[in-house]
Amino acid sequence: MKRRRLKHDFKNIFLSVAVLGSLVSACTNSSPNDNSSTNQDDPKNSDQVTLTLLAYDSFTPSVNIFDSFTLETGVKVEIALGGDAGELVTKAALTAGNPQGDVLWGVDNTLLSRAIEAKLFSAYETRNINELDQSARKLVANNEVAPVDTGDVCLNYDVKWFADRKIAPPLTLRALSSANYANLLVVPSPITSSSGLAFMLATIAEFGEDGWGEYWQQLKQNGVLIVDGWNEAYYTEFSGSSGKGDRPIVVSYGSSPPAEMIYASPKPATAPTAVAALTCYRQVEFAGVLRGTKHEREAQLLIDYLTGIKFQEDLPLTLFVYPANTKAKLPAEFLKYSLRPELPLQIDPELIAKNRTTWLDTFTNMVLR
Amino acid sequence: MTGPSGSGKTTLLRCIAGLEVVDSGTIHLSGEEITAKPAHLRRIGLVFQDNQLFPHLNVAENVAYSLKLQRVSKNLVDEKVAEVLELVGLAHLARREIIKLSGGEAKRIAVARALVAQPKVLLLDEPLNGLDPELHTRLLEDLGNLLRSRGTTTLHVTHDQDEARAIANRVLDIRELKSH
Amino acid sequence: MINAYRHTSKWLVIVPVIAMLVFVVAPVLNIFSMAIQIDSFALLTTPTTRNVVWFTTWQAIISTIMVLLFAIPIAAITANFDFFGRRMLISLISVPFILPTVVVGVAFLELLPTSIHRSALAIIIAHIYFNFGLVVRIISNRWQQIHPYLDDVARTLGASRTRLFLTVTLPLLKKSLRSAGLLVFLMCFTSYGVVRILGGPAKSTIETEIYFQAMQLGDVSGALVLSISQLVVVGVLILLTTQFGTTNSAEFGQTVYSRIRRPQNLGQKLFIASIALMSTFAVLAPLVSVVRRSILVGERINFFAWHVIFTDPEIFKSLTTSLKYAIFTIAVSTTIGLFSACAIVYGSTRYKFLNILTALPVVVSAVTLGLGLIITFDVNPIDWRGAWLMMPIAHCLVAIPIVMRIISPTIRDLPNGLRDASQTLGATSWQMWRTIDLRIMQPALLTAAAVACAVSLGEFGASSFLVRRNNETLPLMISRLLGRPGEIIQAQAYAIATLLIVACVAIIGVVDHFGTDKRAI
Repeated sequence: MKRRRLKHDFKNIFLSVAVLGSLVSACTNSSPNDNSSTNQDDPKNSDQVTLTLLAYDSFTPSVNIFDSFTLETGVKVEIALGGDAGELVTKAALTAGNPQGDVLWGVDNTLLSRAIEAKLFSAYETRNINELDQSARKLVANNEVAPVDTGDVCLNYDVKWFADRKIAPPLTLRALSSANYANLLVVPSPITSSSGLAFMLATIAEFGEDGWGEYWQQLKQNGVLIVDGWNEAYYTEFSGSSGKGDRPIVVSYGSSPPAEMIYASPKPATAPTAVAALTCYRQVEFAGVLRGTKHEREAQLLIDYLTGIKFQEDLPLTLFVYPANTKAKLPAEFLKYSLRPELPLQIDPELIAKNRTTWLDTFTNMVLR
Repeated sequence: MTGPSGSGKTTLLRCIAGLEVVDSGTIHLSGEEITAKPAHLRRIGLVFQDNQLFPHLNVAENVAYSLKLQRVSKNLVDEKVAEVLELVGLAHLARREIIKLSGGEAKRIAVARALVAQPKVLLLDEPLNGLDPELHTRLLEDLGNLLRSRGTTTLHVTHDQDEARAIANRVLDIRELKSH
Repeated sequence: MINAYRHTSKWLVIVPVIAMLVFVVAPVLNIFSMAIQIDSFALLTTPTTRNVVWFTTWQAIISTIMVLLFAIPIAAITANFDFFGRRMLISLISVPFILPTVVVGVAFLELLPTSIHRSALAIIIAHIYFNFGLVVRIISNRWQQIHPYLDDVARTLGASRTRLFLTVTLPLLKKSLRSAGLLVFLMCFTSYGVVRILGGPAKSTIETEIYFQAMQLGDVSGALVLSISQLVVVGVLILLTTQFGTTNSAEFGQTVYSRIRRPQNLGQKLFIASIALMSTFAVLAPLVSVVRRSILVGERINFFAWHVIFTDPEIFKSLTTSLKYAIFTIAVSTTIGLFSACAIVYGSTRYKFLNILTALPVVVSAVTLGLGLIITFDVNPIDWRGAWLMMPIAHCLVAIPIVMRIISPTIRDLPNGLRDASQTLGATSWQMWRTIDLRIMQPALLTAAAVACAVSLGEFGASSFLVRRNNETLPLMISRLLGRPGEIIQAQAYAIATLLIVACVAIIGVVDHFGTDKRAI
């Protein structure tokens, strides 16, 4: 009898705690920063502006990287994560003119045209404009956005695998289609992965609109494995990383070999993976002031900071990308273990915007089904 | 069989019907030992105190249940069901939902359901418990007549000595059994 | 006819209706009116769309049937037998339902033979894994309401155990099976993570197509058109299943006696042991794989990821955020679900529309709902998107339909006699409700609360479209880490996933153990 009572009491306590708990969190959880971007009448906040920097989920700069910005300008920065780049742009397009944040980080060259057409941004020419990568700048006609980083999507291969078997790894896209490399390639799908999309665009750039279809037929014949995302391709199917999969050739980033070195413990003597530089497709990422922000001046200051040396030098070891600012210094591992192609493959952003749907449809019908 | 509440009458019935595993001892029916025989093969009917009519079936379907299990033809089923419903005087309720039955009606349907299976032995667990005196007397008489006319061997369990004496050929008190 | 509460049902309706209108109907209508264009409807006629709709439908149907087939034997042992570890088993099988696919997906793949990776079969198997536990609980609860003497009487009438099951048990479980089945169908029909990870790039359902259209192609209008097709198929199915449901409710007797007994012979013991062991193994295998990935870096055992977990304040913050949101979800969704279920039953047929209204969050594509929420609550000065409430509200929206499906059957079949009895003993309406209805609903309410908690902890659908500032939940953090390079980071993701699993098991275990009396699970 007593035990029943105890359980009965416990149940009541549990329920009361649940209700009280939610009430208490209701009262104490609204963080002081939440409403400051909209609450300008509060005298306490009139000096303190907090900017919301909207970025994709994998935006992980060093903690406290914005402290010196705050010191310099008195403006605080709050990072808001909103999915991947595609999601960010779609959401921004739906809220154009009444944006969810002040600055958007993460529009890449495949989404650039769409973003500009949707009038997401307020144009601003950053004071660092002349230090930024030339070819990246050329992509933006009217300074709607500023380039902030670049990267390459390339074929990565397992050095040891090829060395053991005394086979030469494929160094060009054309070479990859040879039957010698049958069943060795794993690729993320361009439908669901941005690196997969970049690779598909690389093949279009290399073989042209008439030839890329045939190229993929050959890859298909050679047993290419297409998976859902980069994570699965690299960390499960690729033999050169922790997943110890079956496939020694994977589509990944130019910065993946340095990453393998940096994260490996203990440190191997030589890099376990390498990049086939001639297969690389250039990715460029941009940041811009969102149109309709209530803190346009402060947002512009933030763009300056994001393209400035201090922030740019933080990028390689946190986001594993190359700084767009040509004056920024690269870390040793990057200099030692990665290869940057002089002339990577690229496609004009407007062409991408125009043909993306058709190309993906073709890919689906030709390769996936 | 008579005995006070809580003396184990229901348990005994359940053992006989094969619904409880017997710890020790044996059960014989017509000379055959049935202690290990599964309940559904014993042909021993049991009418519970609260009737336990199937809620998802109507009156006729409840009564027909055992016949359908034996895969008797539809016509024969209808015939037998009608016959036994007639016997308990409730032919007019064939299509009725069981929720809508009165206490006495439900009891009679439960008995009808058990009888139509033609059990070797019928066990009744306090069948007239909780009925008003008039219904009690009437049902007692009807029950006795019905069982006698069909010649069904019945073990009728009750705590009411008068009821036992009125209906039974033999009366046994469970306390006499237990003292052995 | 339940007259006692008829006048209160009016008031009960208000809260659920307002909640659904404000947070589901308004956002959906809003996004539709804003983004949809007529020429997008052409999308519905393309062969791709037809194939996708067809595939989505048949994989959902097969998944549902398989889930029911798996769940019934397990419900058979939990509803009828007392055995060592019975309650642990029930708690354990509830865990997969709440785990986000992003966590278990890759680990799950590991266990399947390579030949069925990225196939419809893999999708169906994963659907079974994630959903069977919920169905077991629903069916088992219901089964235990069947008086054990009903089984006995059938046996004395000549029914073998098999015939008993087919002719008595199944018909009485039919309503629960239909209800649970419909819920599972909805989940499988709109499932996203499972299709992506286990189906691979070649398999797409309406939901993945919607995501692709909206996010990859930027064609929100096309996505909305597809979500209409989703609604249509689901609507047709709901109508079909409710059409064939009987309106008269079979009353269950008072369960004074428990069905649960020790197994009586070797056959039963073997049956119980084999089913219990198989289901335990089936549930644990992917979870073990997750744990393994948190400590195995390359080929070496390495606990570094765990060290980071326990020292990183960000992770602790995510944990507390997840727990806070879970508590909120329990309180709000159980209340709204309860109000709604009561309104429907007590108000007779007048409030039946609530069934559909509260099912909307599951039926409407997560993408549509997510986007709708973003553009609806953006009017200054009510800038809700940044407000912390939106995410837990999104959790509640997803939990409510499930809570309702768990609570409804219990109230519907409450025998009136009990209420009459209490009234004659002088109880007021409130006392009567509290002592009779509430007490009998208790096991279902607790199951619903546990499930709501679990849903919240693992929520990764509509809430993932909301922008996160300082309020990241565990599943979102896991997904984010999985997308980053670095073996240690990956291991961290799996370590957090392990924490999530442990938290879920603990909560469900505690609620199961303390919240109900022994025979009520």
